[in-house]
Amino acid sequence: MIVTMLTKRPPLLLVLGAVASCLYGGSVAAEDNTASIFDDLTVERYGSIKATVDYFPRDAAYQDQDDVMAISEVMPVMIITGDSAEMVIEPRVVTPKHGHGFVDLKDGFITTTWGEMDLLVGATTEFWGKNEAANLVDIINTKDYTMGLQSGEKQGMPMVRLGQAMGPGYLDLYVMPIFIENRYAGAQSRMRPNLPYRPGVSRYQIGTDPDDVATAIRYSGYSGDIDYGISAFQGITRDPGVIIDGGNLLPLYHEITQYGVDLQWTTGETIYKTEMIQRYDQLNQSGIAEDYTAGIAGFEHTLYGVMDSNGDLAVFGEYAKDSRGDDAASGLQNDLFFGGILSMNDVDDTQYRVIIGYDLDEASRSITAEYSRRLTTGVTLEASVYHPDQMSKDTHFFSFDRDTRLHTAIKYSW
Amino acid sequence: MTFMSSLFARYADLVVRRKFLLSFLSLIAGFAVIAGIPNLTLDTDGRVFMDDQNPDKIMLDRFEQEYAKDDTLSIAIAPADGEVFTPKTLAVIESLTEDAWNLPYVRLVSSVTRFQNTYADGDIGLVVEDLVIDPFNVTQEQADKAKATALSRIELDRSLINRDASVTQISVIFRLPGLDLTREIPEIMEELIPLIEDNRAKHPDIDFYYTGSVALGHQFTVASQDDGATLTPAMLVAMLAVVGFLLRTVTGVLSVTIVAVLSALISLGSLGWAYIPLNSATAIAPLMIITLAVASTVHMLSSARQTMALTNDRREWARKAIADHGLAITIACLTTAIGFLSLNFSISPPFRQLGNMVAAGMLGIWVYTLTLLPTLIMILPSKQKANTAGIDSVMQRFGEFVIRNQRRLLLGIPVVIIAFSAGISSIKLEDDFLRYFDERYEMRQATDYFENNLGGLNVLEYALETGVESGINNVDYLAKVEAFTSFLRAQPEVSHVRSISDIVKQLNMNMNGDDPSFYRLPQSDEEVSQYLFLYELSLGYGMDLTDQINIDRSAIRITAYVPNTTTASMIALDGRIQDWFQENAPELTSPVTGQTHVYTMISARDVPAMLQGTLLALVFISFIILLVLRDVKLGIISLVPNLIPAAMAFGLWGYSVGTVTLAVSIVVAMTLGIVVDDTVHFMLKYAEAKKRGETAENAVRYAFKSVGMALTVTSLGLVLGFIILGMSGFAVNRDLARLTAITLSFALFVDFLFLPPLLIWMDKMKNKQMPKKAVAAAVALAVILPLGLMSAPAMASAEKGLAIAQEQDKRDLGWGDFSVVGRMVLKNKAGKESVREFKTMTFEESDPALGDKSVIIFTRPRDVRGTSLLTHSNIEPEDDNQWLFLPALKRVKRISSSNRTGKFVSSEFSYEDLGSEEVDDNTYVWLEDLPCPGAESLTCAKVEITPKNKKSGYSKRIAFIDLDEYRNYQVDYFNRRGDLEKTLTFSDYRQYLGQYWRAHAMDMKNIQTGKSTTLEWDEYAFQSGLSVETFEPKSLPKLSRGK
Repeated sequence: MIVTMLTKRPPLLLVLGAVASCLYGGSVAAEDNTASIFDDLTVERYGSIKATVDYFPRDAAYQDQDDVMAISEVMPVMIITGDSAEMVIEPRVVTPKHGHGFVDLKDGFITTTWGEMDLLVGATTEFWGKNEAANLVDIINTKDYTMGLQSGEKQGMPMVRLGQAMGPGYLDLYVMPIFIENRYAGAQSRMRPNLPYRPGVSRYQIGTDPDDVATAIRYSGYSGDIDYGISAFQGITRDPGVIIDGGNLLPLYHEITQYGVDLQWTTGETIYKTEMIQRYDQLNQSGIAEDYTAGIAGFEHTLYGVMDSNGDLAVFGEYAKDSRGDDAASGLQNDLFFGGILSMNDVDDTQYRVIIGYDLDEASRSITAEYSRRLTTGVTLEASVYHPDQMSKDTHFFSFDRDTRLHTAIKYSW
Repeated sequence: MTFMSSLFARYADLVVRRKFLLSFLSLIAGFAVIAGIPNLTLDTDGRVFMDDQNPDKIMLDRFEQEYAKDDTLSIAIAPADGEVFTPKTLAVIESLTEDAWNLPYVRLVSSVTRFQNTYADGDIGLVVEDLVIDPFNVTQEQADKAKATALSRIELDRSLINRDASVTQISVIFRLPGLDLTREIPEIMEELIPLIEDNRAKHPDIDFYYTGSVALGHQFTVASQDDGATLTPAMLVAMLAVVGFLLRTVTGVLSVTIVAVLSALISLGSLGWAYIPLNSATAIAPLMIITLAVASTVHMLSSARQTMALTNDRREWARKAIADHGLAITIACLTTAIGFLSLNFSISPPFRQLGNMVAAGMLGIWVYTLTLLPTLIMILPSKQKANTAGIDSVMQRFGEFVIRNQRRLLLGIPVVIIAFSAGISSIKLEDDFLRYFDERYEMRQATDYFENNLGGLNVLEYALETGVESGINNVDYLAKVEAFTSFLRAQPEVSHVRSISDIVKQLNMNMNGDDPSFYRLPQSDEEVSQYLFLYELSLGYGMDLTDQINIDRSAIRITAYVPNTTTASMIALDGRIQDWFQENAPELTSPVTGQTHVYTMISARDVPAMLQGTLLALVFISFIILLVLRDVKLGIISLVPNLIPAAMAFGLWGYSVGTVTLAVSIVVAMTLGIVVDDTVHFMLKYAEAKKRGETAENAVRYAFKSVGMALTVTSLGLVLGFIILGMSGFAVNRDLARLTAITLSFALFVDFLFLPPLLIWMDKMKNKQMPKKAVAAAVALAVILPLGLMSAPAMASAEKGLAIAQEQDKRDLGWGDFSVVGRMVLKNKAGKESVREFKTMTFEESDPALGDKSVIIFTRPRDVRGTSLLTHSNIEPEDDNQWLFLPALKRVKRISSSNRTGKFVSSEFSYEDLGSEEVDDNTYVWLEDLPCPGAESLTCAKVEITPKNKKSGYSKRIAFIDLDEYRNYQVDYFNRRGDLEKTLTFSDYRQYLGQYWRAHAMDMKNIQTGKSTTLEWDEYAFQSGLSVETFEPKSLPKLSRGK
């Protein structure tokens, strides 16, 4: 499949070749992925390849939808470390079954210390949050929804980030001058809205310019058993509204402001976590700008050495609420999640995960069961089943009703 | 007792009624076990005596991985004219050398003709060439020149050539794949032996001898086969003669043979089903069982013989035999089995296997004696014999003699006992594995010749480590190596020393135009490095220095050869060597290792281990006797004839032979079970009579009459059987058998001459009313005194334990920070491996309220690269703070850290094992001081550590901490139930900053599952300026990328 994808898309080959020659060309003698170019610089190169196939056994709900979605990702990494600075380049080269292949620069930055501050310039991905079912405060990066709206992969966001320890915690300042849009899949994709997106086309609300600079600030740290984070963001929303245009959906980007808090309390085997946000000027499901509050709270409890084995079982339960109620575009207006993660702690890092989500308003449910392990050195397997139940009743996710999915991914790292 | 008797009476009836069914069932069961015999193979590797846990073996394995595993063959060549350096002899040597290169698995052949001589040649510079070029066409003049050179070179002295150049050797080193030693060694010997014979035929004026570890392996096979071929028939014949003498019936002999052979086969079958190969020690198990079977069955048959005189109802013979003697036989089989099962405490696998095999055989004996044998008695034809009155009357008269002289015997025998037992102090442990076979074997003769005329074959190995890559080039270091080499040469026990310093000095001389004043170490490291490089480049085919220098050239191996030395003097020699290290080069201190050393220590290790086993067996056996006799006093008396024979036997051995091999440690346990049988039979009869109301003296008479003959015959039979076994060519078996024979003889002596008077005396004492108060006082004293003696040391032990822990902690303070790369190799029981690599950094918090901080970043397998774990240790009982970084999501997640018992990345190390510890987290008790496991020259304190935290996965740990530097050498972990769960051994300690010791290799073996994890650490980097800010969750994304 990868071979046919490559041969069908000559431009992709070129891109791959360019990337490959940049990173692997040259006559630098290498042993075990590291080499010394000059006396004070070390280069480290490694990477991974991942092939994913999603099979949808049920008939598609909408025209043009395919039963199979597939993607291959090549993620080479190059890290150049000097005395005072470090450069990390990690592009993600994606070749999907449907649509054009592309390269996303997940990490392409230089970081250094400037006085007492840590400075990062370039594209990178950040994670903010504490919960498992959803991370409301996590707002910095946009997503690549090539494999469907439930499978968003973060895309690198260009920024200048300054960080400094302050008091008991740490203060981070972000300035994001370039906006990278979400990437949506087209009509052939599953797990999409009833009207397909037209890939590559988007709209900006009047008054919103993609060149607008987004800013964010976050203060995070820990104290005893409590880990906390307080954040504020101002910029283009990562959850755009939609415009219908000729049978397609187009994302409508607009400016928002968000304040967020995330907290975790770790006591022995039980962890309590919560995230809360207040967002202004976000377009809701009905297309009207609404200020709202949303939160998610839950617990995670770990049982060690279950069933006389070395495995650990982490059971968790989380509840999400959104003040917009039915108008919440995220669909997390009154939802309950619970599940378990059984880590076998064996040589192959075998893990089983089950998550069940209930929408308490609409009575729709979904279950995801996942299995992952290492097959051999450097090769891992991930397989899962997602099944939506009663989803046709759900005002937000009814389009997924027939999208029962069997997912397999194999990743090779070196 | 009545319950037991009625039980056996009912069983006797059952047997009589259902003899065929019972025999059939027992035979079926037996054949099922015997069916395991085809699985048997023979393991001839001498190393089978060392088990995986043996610390000496672990160290040897590590040493051999670094340098070389030498499986050797040494061929001594002694021309009749006493001149090695003649064209004829040199040609023979060369021809044999060439042929030796064609042996299977050969790695290197060294001979005097091919010795890599170095000299300076003005034009070329350094020349490296064979000592004798073109030996087939050498002239006498050239030979003389070579002789002069050879005799002048210390590298050859008493190794390749002796001092008057009359004997030389060809040294062949093999690399055995080790996949199937039962084939590899025979493969070699199949080609070697004809080669030697050929040379002997072609050159009758030259003597050829061969010895070495490969020959030794072959010797094990040959000796086992010899024993099997000669001893087995001899034994059977002797046994049958004994039985025939007593019973005077052919069918009796036949019955005994059947039971004996079946039981022996069962013991072999049990080994076969366990898929354990036979070895030289277990090969004699069937013979032991035959002997024991005879002893067991004789009681049954002799009773039948007695009953024969009263009635001709065969069923009555069988019934009465079972009813009267069934209990005694059961007890005897049980106690014998317990005695042998206690061999499981031995550190040597062959003895454990022997114990289990014989125990299995005992089970067979017991079953068949009580099922098949009575059946045979009932169905096989035999003429009624005249009564046994004649024989029994001899016993009666003997019994009268004993009763008459009881006072004299009671006073005189203890004197004899003490006189004999005193000889124990003369016993010396002597485990020269090259001399495990006696002079009748060619290999032993060759070994003796070799060591008397050329040089030593036994070795002491030392590895002098610099801890720095390519550190061996350092001239200061080499100066110390040279000093050490000279010191070794000065020792009278040492015949030859192999050391790189000689080569370096020689090269220095050559590189300076062969000027003798330059026969010393070079001035600079560069010169050393260059000379060695040049030398190695120029060496001949297959030759290099990798067996003397380790891979990263940070350490050198020094080998000292010691001929004709006893275990005691080798230990003393090593003691002097360790002293030398302390005084002259403490940083180079190396514990002794080498093949010889493992054998040297093997008895020293096994004796204490078996002591435990023997004591336990003693407790069990005494308990059983107590149960059976239902009389505490009798039970205590029975200990006397059980323990004294062994003490006397060892004493006698000490006076006469003096040295004893590994066998010594198991003899007591083995004989205990057998010796007890005699006592049990005698005392059961005595007790029975007493219960009937007889006087003590009459009870003694009764005992002599009813079992006296049987006891005599069985003892004689056993003694005879073990004497025959004592003719084995294998020293361990020979010592074992002879000691057992002597012990059994003394047992009979004590049972007949000392036990009866003792019984009578005790009985008299009981009748005299001892003042109750005196008794109470005596009992109280007996109980309180030991308690008092024990408690004072108990408190001192706790203080001492705490002091040791505190000192250990104190010595590891102030290092600031360190980082190191680690490699974890997980091995499951099948040997399948998986590797995890990681880098870890640790920061020492100076504030005592805070614990250390550490980060682990995984690098392999590649799919988990970047996953990191940050830990902020907290003082007990608070849990640590831990954060996990997941690189795929770039997420830092704080996790629960209360999982102490979980296994870290599925290895044998739990989180608790790897977490840092404070002194206050545990209570300590010092147990004893003993040689450190894996480093005998050091003394370790054995400390019991009990965690205060109830959540700990361990009930206790036992740590072996050396009292020189307070390093852990071994830690045994005991799970919550108190069983030994795993053992952690530390090795390759290196010191940093002149103060901090770090082990570079840790091996955690799970005793219960058989899995193991080795943790290897690269060079530690101390005080590289890591700041505490690095150890914060915020830094994890960056740390996970770092190198």
